[in-house]
Amino acid sequence: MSERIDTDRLSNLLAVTDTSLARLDLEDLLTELLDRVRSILEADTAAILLREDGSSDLVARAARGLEEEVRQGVTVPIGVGFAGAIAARKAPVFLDRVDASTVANPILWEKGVRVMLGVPLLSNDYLVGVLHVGRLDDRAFTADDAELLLVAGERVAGAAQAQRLAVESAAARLLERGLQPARLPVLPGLALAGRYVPAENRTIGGDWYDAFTLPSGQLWLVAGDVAGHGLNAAVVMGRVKSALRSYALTTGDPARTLELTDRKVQHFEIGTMVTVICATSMPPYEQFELCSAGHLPPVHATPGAAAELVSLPVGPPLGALPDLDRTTAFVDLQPGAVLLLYTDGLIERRGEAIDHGLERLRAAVPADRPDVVCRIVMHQLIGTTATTDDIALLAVRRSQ
Amino acid sequence: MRLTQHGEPPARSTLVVEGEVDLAVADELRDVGCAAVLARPSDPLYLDMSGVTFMDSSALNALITIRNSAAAGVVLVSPSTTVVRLLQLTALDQAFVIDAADRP
Repeated sequence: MSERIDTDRLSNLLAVTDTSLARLDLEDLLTELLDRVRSILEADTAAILLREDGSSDLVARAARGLEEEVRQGVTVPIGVGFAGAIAARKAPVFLDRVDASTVANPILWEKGVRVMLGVPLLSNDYLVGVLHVGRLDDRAFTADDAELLLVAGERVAGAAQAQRLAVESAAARLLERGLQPARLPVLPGLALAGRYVPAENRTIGGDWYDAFTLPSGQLWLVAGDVAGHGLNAAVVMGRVKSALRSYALTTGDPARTLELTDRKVQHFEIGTMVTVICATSMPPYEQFELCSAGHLPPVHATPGAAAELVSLPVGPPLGALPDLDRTTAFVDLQPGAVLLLYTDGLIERRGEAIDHGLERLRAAVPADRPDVVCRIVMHQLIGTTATTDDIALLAVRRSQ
Repeated sequence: MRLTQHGEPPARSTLVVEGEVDLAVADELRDVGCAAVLARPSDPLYLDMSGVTFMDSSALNALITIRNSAAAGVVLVSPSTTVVRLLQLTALDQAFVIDAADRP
């Protein structure tokens, strides 16, 4: 760090994020930080754009000397213009000419900004946003300025990530209650049990399980996984789960239901991919019809026999490829037999072939009460391992 | 995950993907892949997946998004067993040209 920079002012800048994090909300913290950055770098403008979770756009979240950026909800695609270039390169960018050819946002040149410097906000190499400063005169920013701005940027990135995780963690608890079935159907001749376990770090995932009956008496079992993480994946999951229920109600047919849900995802949830498996059955539940959209195979455990992975024709996940016809397969369930649906967090391990995980699961599933099945499977496959992905499980067992 | 891009025209547009591709880096793979497609829209994109040691559903989603943005298609070059098996289990092997023998 340059001797030119007053160390007191630098520590002043850094202190704000340490001491105020707990008290200030993110917007106040960012604004406070921008004021200090502006004063240390003798800049006239300073702004922070953050990347919305999973999005490829940067949105202005705090600005000093450029307050209209936030008011107007300035949005810059990654790769476009000055802020977009910083985000795409993940490196500082100096700008000694500010006009329509270098900057996408007209507010900057209308304001009379002449020179700019911007740095990426990175959290574990993940792009969280962009921090930039500008001057209304021609004094160029230096490499030392960039170094200081990067230090400030680290703090901003950390604070933004911490706030996002805190919000998500609170929302996760609400969603767990709201989106997983509060009560499973109580049916003569069939017992059910389900589990939803969020990832260890409380980041929400897009996994769910569902079990419901239709007016016809048809039982539906569902397990699914919206690719991705964060609130966005969880909210999409809520919509997909709801759409699937609607199509189930109108068609009563698992293949047709997945075809229609697929169309809905293709059209309304662009860029989303969902693996899902449905199993339907009528009382007395001797046979289940299964339809899988890119989902891992269920486990079928019959008393007195080795458990097996159900072999069934698998179609691609919902949202992946357009206009597919889907096929189903049937599984006969003997008295006392168990069918287990689950999501990939249960078996996926880094550094291990997925077939090993599938085999460990298969070997672990007993033809026992469904709550016992869930407990044993979680104990044997998860045990004391920290989970990095969320997990949904749904087990059913025919009465003996 | 490590991404290495090469192939100035007329060489083919190649993106080498290595290491663990999970939800922490899936967006980066998607963005870099889509940008590579955008840079040469009439050429197929060759994704060298021989060094991928782990992939999750977010990574698959990134691959599909790249594939659906590529009018000229995406070729998976020498995908590791991990990649092939995951594509088979999710029935997504049909979405790509898989070039098992071809090594750059």
